[in-house]
Amino acid sequence: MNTEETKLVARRIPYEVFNQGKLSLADELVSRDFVNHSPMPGMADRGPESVKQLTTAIRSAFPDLQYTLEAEIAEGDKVVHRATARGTNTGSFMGIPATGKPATWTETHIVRFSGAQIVEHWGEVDLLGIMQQLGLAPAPGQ
Amino acid sequence: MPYEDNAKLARNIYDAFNKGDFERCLSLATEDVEIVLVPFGQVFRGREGFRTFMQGFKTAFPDLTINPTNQVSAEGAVVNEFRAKGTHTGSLFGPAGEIPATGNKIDYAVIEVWGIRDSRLASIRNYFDSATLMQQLGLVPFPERVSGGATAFTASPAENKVMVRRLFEEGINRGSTAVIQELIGPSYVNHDFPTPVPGPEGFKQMLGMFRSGFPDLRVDLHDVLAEGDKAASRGTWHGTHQGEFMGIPATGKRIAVTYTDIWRFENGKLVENWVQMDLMGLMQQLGVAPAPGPASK
Repeated sequence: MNTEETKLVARRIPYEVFNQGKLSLADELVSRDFVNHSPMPGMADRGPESVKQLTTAIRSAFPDLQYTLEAEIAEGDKVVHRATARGTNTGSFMGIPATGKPATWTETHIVRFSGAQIVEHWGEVDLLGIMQQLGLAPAPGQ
Repeated sequence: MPYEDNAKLARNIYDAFNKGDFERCLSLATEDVEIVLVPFGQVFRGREGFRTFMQGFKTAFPDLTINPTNQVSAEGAVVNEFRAKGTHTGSLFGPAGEIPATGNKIDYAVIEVWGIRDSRLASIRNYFDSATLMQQLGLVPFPERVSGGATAFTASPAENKVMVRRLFEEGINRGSTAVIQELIGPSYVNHDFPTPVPGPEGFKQMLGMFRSGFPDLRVDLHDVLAEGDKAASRGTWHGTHQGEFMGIPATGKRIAVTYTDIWRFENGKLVENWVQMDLMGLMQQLGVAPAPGPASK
């Protein structure tokens, strides 16, 4: 696939799998050999199942979760996303009971394609920012 | 000895070089073989010099292969014309110092004038198109931009990648403030770690804030990608927490923190920066946040 095609496929992960909860789409977009090099603490890191597990976990913690892509860079077989996520914490998150608070945070992801499917992922999620907004970690200066 | 044997000797040596068989190359050269790399002004003497010459190119371009497209033989000499094609995945040592790997494809013209003595390679004068090589490595602008003088231009993604690598490897790891001054544009802003002032001065102050906490701070770059007027990099910051950082007194702990960032370029300078760093991981490594895991308090 060329970079225009990889970008179209990569966008479907935040916009359809995460924003709309289309779990089964992960089987189409993510390879069985998929490896996540940056799993969230305690989460699976292999295959489409790991993407479904993460989607379910984050959508149950933030049911109104919406990702917006801020930047997109594609070169060769890789696509980079910078995204902003917004949601309200009305479900348990990483074992922590719901706080009812809203949170806005940023994420940056790199995925690598093999053929039409995603086979690798590296990324950063502003977990500290989430924890601070939910009142679970001291905010800067505190 | 028929002149054609000189051309054949050259092809045998190029063939052995392509296979990485330096020993065979050396066995086909005289003890006092001398190689002059004319554009770089470098001279390599003796068989060990010949080995260094070959190793230098194989390190910078491991997939480099040479197949002469034209050979002219004469008594005691052969001239070989070819294109050097490969990928810049290792450091290249030029007259101005090290050029770190850019990942860029190279394809440039070369002429080598070989002296032959006793059926062995005795000398090479190598003339290569160094301007094209430097452009392909993103180190000099392409000519169409030079003619524009001070007008605005957009550097190629390959050039942008070199700028990002130089900022980390020379500006940060080697502490060259001159490189920071050269690469960071006057309007530079960081959207995630706001700097007190814009431009290179702000970048230096932000770096200084990290260095006061981690004086031995260095970054290992794992990947650099570019498209249009943007680039992204991914790597790991290493350092020892020897000074106060974000209000946390020195703990003496060694930290390794992953990050992914995005850069935007304007007129060949870095002007915007979004940085996503594993600050939660950093806080955990410094012992000021609970370790990961469900329901830990």
